[in-house]
Formats: sequence, structure tokens, C-alpha cells
Amino acid sequence: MLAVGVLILLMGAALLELRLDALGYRPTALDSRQRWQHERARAAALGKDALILVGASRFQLGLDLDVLRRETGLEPVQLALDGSAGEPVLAGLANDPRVRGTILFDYYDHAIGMRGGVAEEMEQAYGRGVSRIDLWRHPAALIEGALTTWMHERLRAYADGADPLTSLHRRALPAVPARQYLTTQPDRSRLADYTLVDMPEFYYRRVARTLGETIDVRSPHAESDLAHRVGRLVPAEDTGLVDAARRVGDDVARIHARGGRVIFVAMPSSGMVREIEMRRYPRERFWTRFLTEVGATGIHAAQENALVGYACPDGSHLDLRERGSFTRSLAAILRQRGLIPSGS
Amino acid sequence: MVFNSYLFLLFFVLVFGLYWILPDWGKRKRLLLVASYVFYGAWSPPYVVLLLASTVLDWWLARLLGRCDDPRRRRLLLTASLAGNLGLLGYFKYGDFLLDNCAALLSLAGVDYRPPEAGILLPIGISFYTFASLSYTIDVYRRETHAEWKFSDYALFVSFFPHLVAGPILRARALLPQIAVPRRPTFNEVGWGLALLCFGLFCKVVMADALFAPVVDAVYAKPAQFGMEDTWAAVLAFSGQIYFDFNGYSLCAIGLALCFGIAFPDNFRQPYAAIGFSDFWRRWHISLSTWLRDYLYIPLGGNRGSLWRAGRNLMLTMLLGGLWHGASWLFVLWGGMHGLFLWTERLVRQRIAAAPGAAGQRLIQLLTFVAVTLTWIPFRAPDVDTATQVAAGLFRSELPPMLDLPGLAAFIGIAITVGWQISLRDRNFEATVASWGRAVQLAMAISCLAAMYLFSGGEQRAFIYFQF
Repeated sequence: MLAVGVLILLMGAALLELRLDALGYRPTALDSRQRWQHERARAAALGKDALILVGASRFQLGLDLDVLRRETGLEPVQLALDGSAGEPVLAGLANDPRVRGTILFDYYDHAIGMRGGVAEEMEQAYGRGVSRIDLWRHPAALIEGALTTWMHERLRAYADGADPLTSLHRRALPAVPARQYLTTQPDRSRLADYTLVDMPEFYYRRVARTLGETIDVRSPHAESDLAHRVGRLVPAEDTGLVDAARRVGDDVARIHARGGRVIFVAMPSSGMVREIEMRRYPRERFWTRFLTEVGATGIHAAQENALVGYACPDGSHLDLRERGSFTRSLAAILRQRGLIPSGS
Repeated sequence: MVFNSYLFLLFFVLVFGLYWILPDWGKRKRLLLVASYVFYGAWSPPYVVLLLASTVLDWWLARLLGRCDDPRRRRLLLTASLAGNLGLLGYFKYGDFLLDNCAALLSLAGVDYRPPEAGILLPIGISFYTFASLSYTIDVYRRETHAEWKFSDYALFVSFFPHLVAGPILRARALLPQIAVPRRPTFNEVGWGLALLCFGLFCKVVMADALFAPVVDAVYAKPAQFGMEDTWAAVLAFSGQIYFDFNGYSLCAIGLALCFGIAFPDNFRQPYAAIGFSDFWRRWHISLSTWLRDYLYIPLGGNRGSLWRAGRNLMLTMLLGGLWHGASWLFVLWGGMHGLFLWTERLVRQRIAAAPGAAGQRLIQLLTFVAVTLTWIPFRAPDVDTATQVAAGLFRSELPPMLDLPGLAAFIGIAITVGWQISLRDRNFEATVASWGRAVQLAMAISCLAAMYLFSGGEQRAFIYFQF
């Protein structure tokens, strides 16, 4: 009886896979905790050869690791975490004497001084030795993680972090064609295809989120409403900036002292998102002061001729068609300024 | 490795396949012993040494006990076994707790003592295998079993992987005779064993983790933010979560053992249909409650002597039973509440001789369930503040419900669970399934498997009782 049940279940699962395939869904990599821990361990193990990317979604979506590898001769390690601040990760790297590589830090004005969150959790878990001696201390957890990832990355029912119930209920039964605008790569980068999202609603939603407000994005007045709200913005308080920058500066100094390098990169933004950033965080009061206090090099996409032409369809992130070209331009700047270790 | 994992599925298929290929019982037992140590080592290899040490110590002491007639020497040997097992448990499970409480006591006396950060990691399953092992030396001391078992048989009894990390807590006298005699499971035993495994996993993955746990986690994380409806939903949901989690594990363990021809006793028998607290403890975690009864309550004097003396024995047993679950005063409080309820019930029973009618029984069932549910609050809460806030939340009417569908699903889920248990109160699960037609059995099997598949892919949760 149970064998018949198993057989019927396998047939059902296969049918769901076929249905999802017909609707255009493809298996995706999982941006799991374990994968991050693995990359974090690589950042340390690679020593001077590592090009470590720390930050949030702008790095995950905007930088092409294959291009970086080719153009810099270094081995890129993607440690950016969607929706998080990079400082806890930078602090962890500074505390790890084995980290001696080049670090690109995704500078985002509003995230400066932010601690805690998923980045802090990840770094603390790594600090507790989760990945260094895991195989010895918790072999089952490690192997199970690898097995689960292997399985889920090959089945459409788990695409984009969904579960079979969600896939059945929200995708297969209502026959919703695939609109996987965001695809996670095994190297933890993410490809964003903005031709698959509803515009301009998607863009309005991003602007509203950057503002920290909610609006009806389907309203015919959405754009003017948002523009009005953006127009009223005043510069943010900068009272904590110096302290936060000094803390970051301490971390940077420790990395520099052992031969590593930290470069701050402000990624492109467009439209009203850029307008919000400029109004809230005037560059002289934030970006320039931050770099001065930290004593590190920075590359701002809005100040570099080679980087200014890139537009973000949602106002905040690059489309997959632009990321390769953008990464090449960024790598060229790094090379021209001698920011990449010689001989690499 | 947890039963609800791909790794365990591979492990089981491999061990089960080899078990059927191997020709004689001796080789099969060796396979099960090696597999059990691999299973335990997969959690954390260093602690295999601890398991082995505990096994060697008790097997050796029991052997000496069995050959000794001098009462003083026998008492000494038993004391050595108790000290070894309880010392192990005390150090690993209660070391940090004792140090922290010493520091708190000394600070009351004005002494500033800060204990060093011991950072002791609790070896998984230690509470279960030390109790199983201890029961053996005590039984040999009482001459209720002999001590001439082969070491490999004894080691397999202690480490047999289905019960190793979360019970049921087995007695040597129940399992060793089964291990000693050659056996090959019948086709029916394997079929029923796999069905139990499947149903146990359904209980864990679907009922405990998908239906109840999200509601419980949400409210216990920020209890002050939730009103009456949500708090009741969470408190009731935890009754469902812990039952399906632990009963699910027990069913998996019983089913797995049966696949290898070994019979384990039931660990749960419709506990939420209990009529009173003494009935509840005859139905909930039966292997622990009978262990505590046989090795603690009765040696303390049981219900002999005055009512107060029996009450003292009961309270002591339940307080220690609570502490067994973990190094926290909240577990002691949980045990104390159960002790108090049991004692009160005994007092009431002495004064009211008449048995309640059908309606009275239903009322007592309901009251017992609600009281048991409330005792789970300190059991689940991570600290006293959370427990207090959850308890206060049961009467917090000013906040509107926020959990909507998950909360409602938890209410319905627990109502069905209690109703189901009441309707099957005096029947066992096997008889119930056997009474269904083949079509119903097939439909149930497909439903369980399909639900497990559909709810797979979320965060994997370990069984709650692993932490004990």
C-alpha cells in the first residue's frame, strides 16, 4: 500500500515538474546560509588572491563575477547579502587575520552605521566556527545542507526559494507563466531581468520603499504623488556619521595593516531613487566626509565618466544586460588607479 | 542526523539493504551496532567516546553486580553506576546551570562570584541513553534481570539508532532478549514499520512544523504584541506542536525498529483524551513516566504512608522529571505544576468516591487538556519574562487578532486533534488503521506522502526532544 502511495507521489511530483517546465519555470540556485558560509571561508582561504564583495543587493545584482575574474586576475568572492548592511561582515573580515585580499565595499549612505541583521548573524555564525571545523563537529548538518541544496537546485518546484505547495498553488494550478525576474547564481550573484516585471508599478514600488512609505502604485497619480513626496525631502541628520566612519576606519586600518585593501564603491541609481539619495544624503556631507574619516579610496558611479551612463530600471539595481559592461568599466578604473595588487 | 532529512533517508536505505543481504544474525547485529555509532557520530563525532564510555562502565559494573552476593559491595557498585551516569548528566547538562545558580546565591549573600564561561555543549541524547543504561544496572541490582549479556548486545541495546537520541527510553530487560535471539522481520512488520515511519514524519513535517510551529514562534518571539485570540492560538498550538513533534519522533523510532524486527513499546496513547492528570501521565511520554515511577517514585516510598508523604514523593518525582527536560527553573516549574495537579487530583479522588458520568468525563477531559495546555507555557517560554507575558496575553483583549489564517488553522487543527484522540481514546493506532478499508488506507498513505512533499523545502527543524 505504501509502495503504491510512493509511486503515485513520485508521479505527482514529476507531473508538477513538467507543468512548471511548460510554464517556463527553471530551477534556481539557493542563496542559503550554508552557501554564504562557504564563500566566507573562501574569502579567508584565498588570502591575497581574493576579491571580496561586501554589501547588499546592488552588488549581488550589479557585478558580474566572471568579468571581474577575467579583468582583475583575482578570484571574486560574493559576500553581499540582499537587504543587509555590510559593516558587520567587514568587521568580521577585519577580525580574521587570514583575510588579506582586496575588498570592494558596497557603499550605501543610509546603511552606514547599521549593525545587526542577517549580516551580523552570518558573521557571528562563521565566527563561532560553523564552517571551519564543521565537518568534524557537525558532519550530518553539513552533508544534509549540501544534499538539500543539490536537490532543490535541480527541481522547478523549489525555484526562487519556493516550496512545492507554493509552486502548485500559485504557479501550476492557476497556470501563471514564469516571470522569474531574479535568478540566483551558484556564485551567489543574482541576475535581474526587468523586462519580466510590470513597469512602471515595479519602479514606483521601489521608489516608495526607498522613501519608506507606501502608496497605491496602480493609481494614475502615483508618479506625481511620489515626485511630490521626493520634492519635500530634506537632508538627513549626519550626527552619527563620523562615529560610524571611524568604526569602519578601524576595521579598514586593520585590513590594510596586513596587506589587504578596502575600496568603497557607490553603485549607480536612477530616476527618483537617485533624487531621494541626493536630497537626503548630499554627497559632500556624506560620501566625501565618510571617505575622509575612513581614510580609504572610493569610486562613486555618479562621479566617474565611465560609469555615469548606466541606468537602473527599478531605480536601484542594474539589469542583467548592463552588469557585464558595468563590471568591465569598474574593473578598468580599478586597474587604472592601481587598486588591484600588481601581478594579478 | 534527523529522521526528516535526505541524509537519513540514504542512511536508512543503505543500512536496511545491507541488513537484508547479510546472512546471519551476528553479522546483522554488528551492522546495526556500527550503523548506530555512525548515526550518533554524525551529530558530533567526539561524543561517540562518551557514549562508549557510559556503555562500557555500566556493562562492566552490572557484570560485577551480577556475580556479587555481598550486599555492601553490591550497593557500592550500584552507587558507582549512579555516580557515573548522573555525574555525566550533571556535568554536561547541568554544569553551567549549577554554576550560574551558585553565583546568584552568592550574590544574595553579597559575594561577587563570576563563574568562568564553561561553554559546555550538551551531547545529544545524553538524557535518554544514560536513563536507559542506568535502568539496566538498577535492574541487575534488584535481580530483575541477569548480567551475562554479551558486550556487543548490550552496546547495541544502548546505541540502537531508532531510540538513541530521543527515546523511547527502553529497558534492558525488554530489548536485550530481543537482540539476543536471531530474528528476521516479516513482510508485514516491515510494511507496518514503514507506515509508522511515514506517519511519524507526517506528524513532524506537516502538523508540528508547518501547521503549529509558525503560530507558536510568532507569539513567543514577541508576546507583548499579541492579544487574547492570538495568544490562545499559540498556547493551544504548542500543545499540538509538542505532541505531533514528539509523538511523530516516537512513531518513527517504533517503525524503524520494527523494520529490523525489534518491537518498541508505545510512547503515547491519546494523551489529550486523558481523564485527569494521573491518566494523562499514563498516556504521555509513557517510557519516561514509567521510568520515573519505577526508579524514583516507588523507591521514594510511592503512595505508601500518609497522604502528605505520598504527595511529597509525587512532587519530588515531578520536579526532578521537570528538571530532566533541561537545565532551567522553568522546566522545574512545569514539573511542579504537574506534581501539584496530580496531588490535588489524588486529594479530590479520596473525597469523591463516585465515578463521573459521561458528561462529567467529557468535562474532566476538557479541563485536563486546558490545564495541560497552560502548563506548556513555562515549558515553551525561553525565560520567565516571556512566560509571564504569554500568560498575561491570554487575557489581553485590547489588541486585535493578527495571525488570521495561521491562527485559525491552529485552532481548527488542535480541535480536530483533541476530538480525534477522544474518539480513539481506548483504541490503539494499529487497530484503527486495520479497521479502515484498503482504499482508505491508500488514500491516507497518499495524503500523508503528498502533504510531506508539498510542505518540504522550508527551514528544517530538529525534533524538540533532541534538546533534552
